[in-house]
Amino acid sequence: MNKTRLTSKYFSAKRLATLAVLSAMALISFMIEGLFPPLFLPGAKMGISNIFSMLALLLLGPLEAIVVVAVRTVLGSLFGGGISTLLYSFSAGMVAIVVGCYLVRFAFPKVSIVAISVVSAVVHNVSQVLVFCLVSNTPQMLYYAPWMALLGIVAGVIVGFAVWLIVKNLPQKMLSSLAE
Amino acid sequence: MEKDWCKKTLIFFVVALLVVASFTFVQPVQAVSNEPYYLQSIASGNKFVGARMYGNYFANDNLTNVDGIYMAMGVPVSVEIYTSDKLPIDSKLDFSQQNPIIAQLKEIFAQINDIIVSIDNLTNPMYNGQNGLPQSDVFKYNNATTGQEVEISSDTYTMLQLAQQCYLQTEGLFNPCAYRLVDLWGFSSRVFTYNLTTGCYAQPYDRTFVEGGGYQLPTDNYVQAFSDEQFVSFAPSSVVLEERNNKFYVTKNVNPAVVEQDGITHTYHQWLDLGGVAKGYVADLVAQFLESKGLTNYYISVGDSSVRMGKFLQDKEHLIVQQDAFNPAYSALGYNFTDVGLACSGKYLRNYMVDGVVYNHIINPKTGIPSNGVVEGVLVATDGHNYTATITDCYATALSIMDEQQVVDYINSNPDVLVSALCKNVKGQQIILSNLDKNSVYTNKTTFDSYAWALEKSNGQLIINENAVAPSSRNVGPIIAIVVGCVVIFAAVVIVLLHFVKKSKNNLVAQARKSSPFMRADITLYFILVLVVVLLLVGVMPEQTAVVQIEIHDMQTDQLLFVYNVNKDSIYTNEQNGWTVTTERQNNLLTVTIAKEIDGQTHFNKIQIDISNNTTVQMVSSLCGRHQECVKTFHPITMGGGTIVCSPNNIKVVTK
Repeated sequence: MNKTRLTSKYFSAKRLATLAVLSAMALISFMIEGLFPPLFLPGAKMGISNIFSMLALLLLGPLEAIVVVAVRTVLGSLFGGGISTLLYSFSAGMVAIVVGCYLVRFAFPKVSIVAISVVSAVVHNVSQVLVFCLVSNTPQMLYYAPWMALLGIVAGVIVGFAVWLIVKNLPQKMLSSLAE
Repeated sequence: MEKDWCKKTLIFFVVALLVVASFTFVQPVQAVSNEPYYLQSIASGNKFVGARMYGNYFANDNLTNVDGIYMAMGVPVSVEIYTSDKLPIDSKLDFSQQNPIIAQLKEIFAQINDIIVSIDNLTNPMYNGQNGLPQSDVFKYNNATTGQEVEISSDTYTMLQLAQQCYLQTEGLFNPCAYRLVDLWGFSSRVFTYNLTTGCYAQPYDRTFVEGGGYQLPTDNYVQAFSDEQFVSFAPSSVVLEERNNKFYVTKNVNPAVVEQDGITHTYHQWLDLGGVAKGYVADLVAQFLESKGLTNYYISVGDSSVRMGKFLQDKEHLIVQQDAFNPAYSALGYNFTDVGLACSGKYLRNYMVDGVVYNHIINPKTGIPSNGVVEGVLVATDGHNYTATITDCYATALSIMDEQQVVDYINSNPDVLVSALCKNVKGQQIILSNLDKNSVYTNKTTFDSYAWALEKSNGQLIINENAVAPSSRNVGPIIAIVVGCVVIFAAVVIVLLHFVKKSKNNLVAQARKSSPFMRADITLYFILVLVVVLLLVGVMPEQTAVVQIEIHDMQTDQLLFVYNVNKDSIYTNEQNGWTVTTERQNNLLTVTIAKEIDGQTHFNKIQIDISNNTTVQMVSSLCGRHQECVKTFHPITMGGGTIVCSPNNIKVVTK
């Protein structure tokens, strides 16, 4: 085991509380968003909840971001959708956040938060369509993949700006001691 | 035994209904007084497009007149005539009315009735000339002694000739002279008319039926005597056919079988039965009669197993469905045919079980016992012949006895005969041996995927691919594979990320607070994204083809619920597993409603198909408990390869 993860700083109450709040907010926004009908394309969403997973990624770290996504998709599907929804939202969410993690680790700050958000959103939408095609044996659904990717760009820009604004404007006090 | 027979007949009937319902909707029956058949209008959508005759034949009422005799069930015959220039039918037919079309139809059907009755009178082995029954040619032959010549009609002569050709072609596997064996095993019509109390029609080798407990098996000495090569021979030297001065004769050139039982010596003369030929022959005669009237749009089914068809409505093809031999309530596949004679046969159709062993009605004339070939159900079709239904009838019986290699050799040496044989090979795998064009086969995925398509072309010949695997055994469930894949990927990623955590960027938050929403390096990322979108657009764009077929599936089970074929204007619906499928037609608008009870509420999807010039498919309303994405966000499909999905109701509409 490595030392850093076991230090009290890593499991500090503030970090845990922040993680819990972000997970809860992601879950709630995911479910609220589910109440509204999709926009233009089947299954299309703004992905407001991704704001919170991106925040977790930036403020807390990659593992925490994955926790936020896992909580959001598993609980969100159990409360609102079904097992089949879980399958594609979980897998797509995971793929998207992992891509985000890598970009933050290797490309940030050379590329902006907005660009990272856009890439994850596109990856999310395309992988969701792919998984749906595989699970339901409907290759015809692939037709929607490019349009979903385009929609991902729009949603990614919005989410990215939101994250950027939040990170920029959060009081320094809140952020102090969050990093390990 | 009798119960079993009833069950089989019931299954037969259900399947017949399925087959018919698969391409037409039949209007209520209208009986023609004093006739042994019924007439109906045929409707497709809300248009009336033809007339149908339906009757039960091959069982003379007088057979049942003798007190206490089991009733022979007879064979359902249906003849469908579709509207054409020669005989336009465009409204509902009221057969009690007088008009030229109805008079013409009534006349045609009356003559068809005469044809069927006349062949029955010639071939039914039970018609002995007593009790008001006619005396059939087959009865005369069966009662002739060795060397005796019997005068027969030209029809019987033709049937015997065709049968003899098939006998020679199949090297004796199709053999109408195996009738003593069929009788011995208890599958002949005599057994069903045999009376226990009066001993009427009795034979010394008759055994008692045990209600529910099966049937005693015949003794070896009988099986051996009746399958003797000389006794069962149908070769031209044994059953001699002759034509002299426009009269037709058959001579029984076969020595009787001698069997000793309980100290008494019994002598049995050879029997033949044209049951395997007559049904096809009737279909052929009716077809010839209709063609002579200039009618080419028709479908004739005799006993559901012998079919002769012309063209379907508007000269289109008929969609024929083959039952799944291992699951006879379900269809396995469908295929388009036109202008062919077609026959089905299957060991599953009639059989009984003794001590856990199933004995089926197709007796191998070489061994004298019920067929133990691999073929469980077979469909044979061919064209280009005056008597296609007759010869396919013979071939279907012969194929039911063959082993795998024999079937393949048969298919290779008769390329103009289309065969679809559903088999269980020695390894216990379900395979299809067929020379149908696999890409044109309509499949019922739930049953079809349990078969492996075993034949493949090699140097112009079809050979068995030993490695062929049935799709259902192949896909252990893509869902499980995906879930496992996700977990593995997730685990791998977590391991890699844990490695990162050690040296995570300490100043990440500070950097983020300072960062601008646009960096120069973003351009590269955005460019890559645009490239991906463009590539996707190019890659997944379906070809611009018109919709030829619309299918509705249950996404979970892949059950095919509905098929509409645009070119054929035909509808297939399948309501298994709690689904209800209703269709409604208004001019060019076909509305399909798929409904299912989910959590005590009837969920439904309403799909509208516009079949004017450019076929358009659209979801018009639904109840799914969610956002009606299928109605609001899916675009109407205007070309092949499109889809509309309703995830909550597990329904998908796809076009081809």
